[in-house]
Amino acid sequence: METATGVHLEHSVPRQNTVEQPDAKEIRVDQELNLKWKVCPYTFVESMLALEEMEIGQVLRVIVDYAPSACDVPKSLTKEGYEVLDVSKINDTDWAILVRNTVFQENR
Amino acid sequence: MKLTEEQILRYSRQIILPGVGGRGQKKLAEAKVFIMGAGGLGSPAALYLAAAGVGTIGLADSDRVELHNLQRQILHKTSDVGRLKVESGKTTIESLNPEVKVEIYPQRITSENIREVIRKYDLCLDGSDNFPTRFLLNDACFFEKKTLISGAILRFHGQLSTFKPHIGGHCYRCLFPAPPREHVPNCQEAGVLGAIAGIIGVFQANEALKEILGIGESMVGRFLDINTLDLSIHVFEVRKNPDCPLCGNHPVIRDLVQYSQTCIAEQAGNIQCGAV
Repeated sequence: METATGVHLEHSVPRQNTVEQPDAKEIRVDQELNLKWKVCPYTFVESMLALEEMEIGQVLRVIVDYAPSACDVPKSLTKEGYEVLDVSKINDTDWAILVRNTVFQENR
Repeated sequence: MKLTEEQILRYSRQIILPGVGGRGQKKLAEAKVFIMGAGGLGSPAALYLAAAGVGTIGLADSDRVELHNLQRQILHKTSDVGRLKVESGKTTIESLNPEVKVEIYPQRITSENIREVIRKYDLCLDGSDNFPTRFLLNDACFFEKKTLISGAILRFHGQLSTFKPHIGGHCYRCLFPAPPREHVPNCQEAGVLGAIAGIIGVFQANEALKEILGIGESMVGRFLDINTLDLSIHVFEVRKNPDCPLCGNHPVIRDLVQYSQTCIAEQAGNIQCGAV
């Protein structure tokens, strides 16, 4: 995951198409955050800041085009207690991360 | 308050920390910290608090910058010699982080004005260099129910503790009921290695940031002693002293006491000094 080419990305994208996860298309998105052109750690920082402003249970869709962010943002958000619902490559350059704001985060 | 793009950039490395986030950054921006002394301890403490984005810093010191201060008082530069320390400090802090509001108190802090001065701040840091001020700040913080983060240094030694007697912790007088009558050498006589001022001042800043953010374990009930020569660090448990003249079960100090430097000097035959 050290290159920005995305070569080693597939295996590290967390929980894609797992049985428990609903289809990403069925998840209602409350807010979208376009972080194209942004890199780590700002992709994570801005995702977290957006979630802090949202209601518990709401879902944020984050768009990134920096390959390491597609891996590290979900990882860092999970570590912070947010619920990452889906990570998908949506076109040649971009990934969409779906994350739900949680109560755990509120009590951090 | 929504963080600006510039603030996100500036504080990103701490916003990502567990327990900080955007909410913590806003707590820091709203925090008001009073620092007694713009010297050896106050300098590094003020710099790190300002760098972290503490919104308001009160700086009290009636001295002017002298050349022998520069060995440890890193708020001031050679070109500042002769300037009031609070003004020099304000310039340095604002050049580091223009978002910080620096309120300066060049007047002598006494029993007459101290309570009014510290009232508007959330917590206080002691970077004073003499016992009268040290006891005055301790007592004022007790009466005003302010958390006091205490630091002291001499030669190669440093000490650190946090006083919250208003919520059951110990205060400075629990450890030292009154200014010493015997001679205690000051930095001028005994000397001090500049880096120890940095160590303890930065510890104080770190404790202040923890207090503001509400993270970690504070130094309430604990007392740190460090000897930098062999780098031995001891942390002692300290309890509230039931016989403390200020915060004990039968307090005898009901109002601020203004100790005078000369008075103690006359009693003890020499000038006293707490730190810096």
